[in-house]
Amino acid sequence: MKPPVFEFAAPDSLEHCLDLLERYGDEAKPIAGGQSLMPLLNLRMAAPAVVIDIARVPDFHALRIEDRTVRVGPMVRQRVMETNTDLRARVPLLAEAVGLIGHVATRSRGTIVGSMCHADPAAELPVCATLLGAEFAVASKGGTRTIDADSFFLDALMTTLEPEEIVTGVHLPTAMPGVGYAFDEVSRRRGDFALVAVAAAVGLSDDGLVTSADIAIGGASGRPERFPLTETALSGRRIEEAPLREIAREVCDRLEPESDLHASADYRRRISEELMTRVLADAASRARKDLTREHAL
Amino acid sequence: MGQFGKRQVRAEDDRLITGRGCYIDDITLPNMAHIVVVRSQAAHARITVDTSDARALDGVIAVFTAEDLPEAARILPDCHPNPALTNPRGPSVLANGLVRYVGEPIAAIVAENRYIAEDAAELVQVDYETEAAVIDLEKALTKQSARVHEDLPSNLAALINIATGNADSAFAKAHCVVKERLEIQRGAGQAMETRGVVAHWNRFEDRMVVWNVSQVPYVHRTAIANALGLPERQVQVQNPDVGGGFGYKGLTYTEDILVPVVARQLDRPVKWIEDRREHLIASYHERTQIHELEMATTEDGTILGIRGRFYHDTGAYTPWGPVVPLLTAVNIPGPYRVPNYAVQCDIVYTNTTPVAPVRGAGRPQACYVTERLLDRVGKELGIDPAALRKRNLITAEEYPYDVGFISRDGTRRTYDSGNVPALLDRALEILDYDNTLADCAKLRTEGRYRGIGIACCVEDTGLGPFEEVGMSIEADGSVTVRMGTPSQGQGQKTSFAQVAADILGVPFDKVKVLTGNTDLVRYSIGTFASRAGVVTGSAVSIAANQLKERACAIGAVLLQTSPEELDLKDGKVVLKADETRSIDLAQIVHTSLGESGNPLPLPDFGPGMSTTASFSPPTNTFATGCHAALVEVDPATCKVEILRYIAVEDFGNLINPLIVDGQVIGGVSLGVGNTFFEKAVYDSEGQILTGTFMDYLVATSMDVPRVEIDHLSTPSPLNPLGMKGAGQGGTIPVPAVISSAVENALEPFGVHLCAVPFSESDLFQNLRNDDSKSTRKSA
Amino acid sequence: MNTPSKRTQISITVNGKTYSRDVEARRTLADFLREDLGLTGTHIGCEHGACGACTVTVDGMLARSCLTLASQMDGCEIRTVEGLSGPNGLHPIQAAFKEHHALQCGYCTPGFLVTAAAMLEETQDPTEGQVRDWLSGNICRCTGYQFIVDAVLSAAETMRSETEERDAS
Repeated sequence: MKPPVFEFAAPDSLEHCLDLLERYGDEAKPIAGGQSLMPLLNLRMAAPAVVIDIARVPDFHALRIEDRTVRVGPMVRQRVMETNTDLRARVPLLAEAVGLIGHVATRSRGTIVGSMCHADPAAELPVCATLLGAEFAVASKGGTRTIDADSFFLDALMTTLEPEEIVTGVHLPTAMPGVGYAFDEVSRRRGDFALVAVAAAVGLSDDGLVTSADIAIGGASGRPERFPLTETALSGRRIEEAPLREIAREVCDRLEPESDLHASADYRRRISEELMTRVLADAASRARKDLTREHAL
Repeated sequence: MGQFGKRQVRAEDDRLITGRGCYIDDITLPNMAHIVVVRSQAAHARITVDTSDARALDGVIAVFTAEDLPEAARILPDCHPNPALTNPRGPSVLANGLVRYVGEPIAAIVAENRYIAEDAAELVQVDYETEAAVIDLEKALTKQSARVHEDLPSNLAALINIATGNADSAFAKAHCVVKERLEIQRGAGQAMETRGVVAHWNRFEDRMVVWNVSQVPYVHRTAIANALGLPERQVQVQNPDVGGGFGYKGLTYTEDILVPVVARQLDRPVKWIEDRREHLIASYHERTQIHELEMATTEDGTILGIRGRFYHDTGAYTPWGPVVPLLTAVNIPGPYRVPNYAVQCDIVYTNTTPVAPVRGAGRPQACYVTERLLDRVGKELGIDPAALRKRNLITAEEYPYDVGFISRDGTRRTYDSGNVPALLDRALEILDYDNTLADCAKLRTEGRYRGIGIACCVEDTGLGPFEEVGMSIEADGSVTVRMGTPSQGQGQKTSFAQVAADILGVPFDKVKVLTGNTDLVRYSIGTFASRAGVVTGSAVSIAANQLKERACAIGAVLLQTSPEELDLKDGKVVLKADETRSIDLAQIVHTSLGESGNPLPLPDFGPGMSTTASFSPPTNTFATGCHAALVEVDPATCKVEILRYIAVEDFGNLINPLIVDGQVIGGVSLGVGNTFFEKAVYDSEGQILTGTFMDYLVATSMDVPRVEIDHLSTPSPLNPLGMKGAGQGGTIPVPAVISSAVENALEPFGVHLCAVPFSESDLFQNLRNDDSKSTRKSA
Repeated sequence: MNTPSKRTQISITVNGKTYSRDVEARRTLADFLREDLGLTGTHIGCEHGACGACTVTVDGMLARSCLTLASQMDGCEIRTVEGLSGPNGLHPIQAAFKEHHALQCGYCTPGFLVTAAAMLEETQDPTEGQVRDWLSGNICRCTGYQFIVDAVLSAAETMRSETEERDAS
């Protein structure tokens, strides 16, 4: 289990990085934390001609916390999401999800953007990006563009990124006042890919009625799927009075997950339902706490 | 001094915690070449192999296929022959025109380094003309089934029948008969260190020197000598630090022969290190069995008999004979009185990786089926599971207990000593059984589902025929113990030093135990079947007593007294009546060795303080255990949490309870894996789907509960130290215990568990199926 | 290194000593440590990041050395199990492993030690749950983890009292 022969480059600027991508196209593979690519290389399931280490591009390490947006460079490690308290407060959904990704050692190398670009349908971060409507800043020799999460994730391990492009950052909207977020999953063991992962965002009015609700589900199809629930029976009700189970069942009946070694399709569908019920309630309860805190201020 | 029974920290650890261990892959020799094995990608196929591209690659030294091997090195020997196996088939060292499982070795690349060797392996062209693969264990026995071995009339490797009493007449008059179909699926040992071999020809001594990770180096010495056409003295097998054994490293694999053959032919040191993918695919598996068994009881739950049939999947070959299913067949009665017993086992070939014993070795299956049947009886008759077990357990007074049939080793199966009812009582006491039952009932009304499981087991341990030990008191008064059973992490350098230290009256750290080198003692059987502690440990005590006698005899001359007046203490021979009159052991050694050029000062005794001893147990001894668990299940997600796990063991006398506790907890850990996670999966074409640790799951620190351990000892009468083996007892009852607890927790849903491992998804499916079928009236 | 090449010139500091080497671009950090530097305390268990035996720290952060290319490590500081003990003897976690019988075959042990040491640098007073979570990426087939967890909790206590003693003096 040794990697096949390849050439290695570690460009020291975005410019050089883009030159290499332009020149080698789909023959090249960028490596950030390497936690997804290295196993594929060691198993010889990937055989790029060139591996481009993007860690030497200084800008790629940038993490900018702004008022409405957190801008995460492609070399920001997942572990930062665990240890940076300011960041955790701004994007509580990712803060909750990140501890479920792999293990401390893999999170210490693995990057936030890298996991999103790998686009494993059962991975936690793409589900979060999908729920939050994150935007991917993308660059190539031809220029830059922005892709929203919904268009970014195409199918299992596939994104709309072109071979000569690289993600220069993901922009995550910060938590909005009066909105609560929750993430939960079932996996075989701690750190394994989720069998199903569900993220929720629920907004409440000052008097505690649901004003917005969204969920995203990972592991139940080739890519994370987002389901807006604002137009459902949730709206305008207190969460404890809302028919959460029915709403969840209606959404999950539409899922077409696959069976694999680890779980049946039926299990995935029904667990989605259970998790969805739980995260909606959790998100609403957090929104309520958020409102109470605001009022207290 | 009291070393025996002390929780002594290990002599092994200082090197291992500082990164100074020496494992097989840490051995590097000048000019060493590296081997990568090309393995079959088809389950059953005729093959043609073209290695020309691989040979042409820069850095490739040679490529071996079947025809490059000497005649004697083409088929692996059966290292544990057994007459019960009527149709044995051994694997080829390298496949000769036909492959019978995915992962079967086809060719060996020899290159300057592993990277290049893997590059070359990709260039070997294998054309597969596929044949129908036999994968399903039950279909394999049908008339229409393809055959794994065309020269055999069917896929049946052997039939085993074990019986006592008259089962059919017992069933005819039974009040209660329960029948179950119980499945245990394929798992594997998966030690953290994979296999590996380093070999080179020692030109000075004119012999083959091999390092490997074997549990049975003397078996390998014979096999390698035969393959190379050498007398055994021209082969030396050494075991460095070995990263776990678990049974399946206790037999000869392809590479154990292949690597020395390549080293001899190229006259160059060569190394082969298996990678994890190979280890998952091609290192031997265990556990697949399907059981269709019945239990008959009286109205009060007294077992009248067990009968039925089970099917054992041996994979494509029979490298360790029929030992796994045989162990199931003889262990099903367990610690219970089963007066009438008739079980047949069909050992079946399939196009899958061959089977070798993995920690537990057929016994987890036996315990599982018996305990599942007992649970069924308890339900039918409305008897509390603990009471039902107690009613049927062999009582302390009944030992030695004649089970009624012949054991694995050909002797009449007789439990030497035990008191399992006491183990059960102790487990219930630790669990606080009655109060815990009441808690479970109360929580159930609150919608929380907790359950209790209990299982008892026996394990045949410490089997023969012998182990040999050499022992010397050195000129500095320290002690050297030489033995043949190698270590895979069991702490033998500690335990056996404790045994010798007590008898020789020297401090623990003055005893150095050497193992892992076939030059140390002439013959040995090996470390497996929970036997090294019992058999080698006994030999150590015999050797130490011989040296003690000799030291006292020489001491008596020097102190001008009689040997009976002397004892060994603090590194000295002392006069019991007056300990100020003593002589250092070092001085005794000096005196007995004499001075260069002069006559021996004590010619009656001969020179030095060395001896050899062996121990041969009359038959194996039986360890017993009772485990209990408290679990909680979330019926929505079907996640199971093990809240408490209790293991009460009877391993006879314990040399080192710290090490024994480690064995128990480690054993439970594998059992937890066997219950929830560990499953090697094949598709219908025979492709193995569990080729990485992302697919083949083992228990982590989050999954293994804290184990509450207690020991109650009934010393074995079969060896001088009163010991029983402790290597597998932790593993055996776990799937039975947890299955029982989970079923108990989900009783309101009518869940019926009859297969391990089960995932949350399996449990969910089971719960839903039973839910929909349930005749239970909804509230 | 803007131009792709099959070989890389790297300078790496391992356990305080700096090494300059020319390596094949595809060489893993695990193989570099073990074969090129002879630091065989780092063990290879799975080569796909799922067992933790090869865990080291890179610039103070845990890393699987099988999932890291030596080429990526130019200018980095690595600590392996060989670098845990200092001039004053064993690291408290090493001593605790011995005391609590937290190892049997010892093969996974270096990865556990490095992981636990990194944890104790960050978390002085961990709960059993935190310890189990931190260790969940390291597989041990011998011990069932219990004595490892006990050892880590005990080492944490030792290190806390050492800190208190230092602060007091």
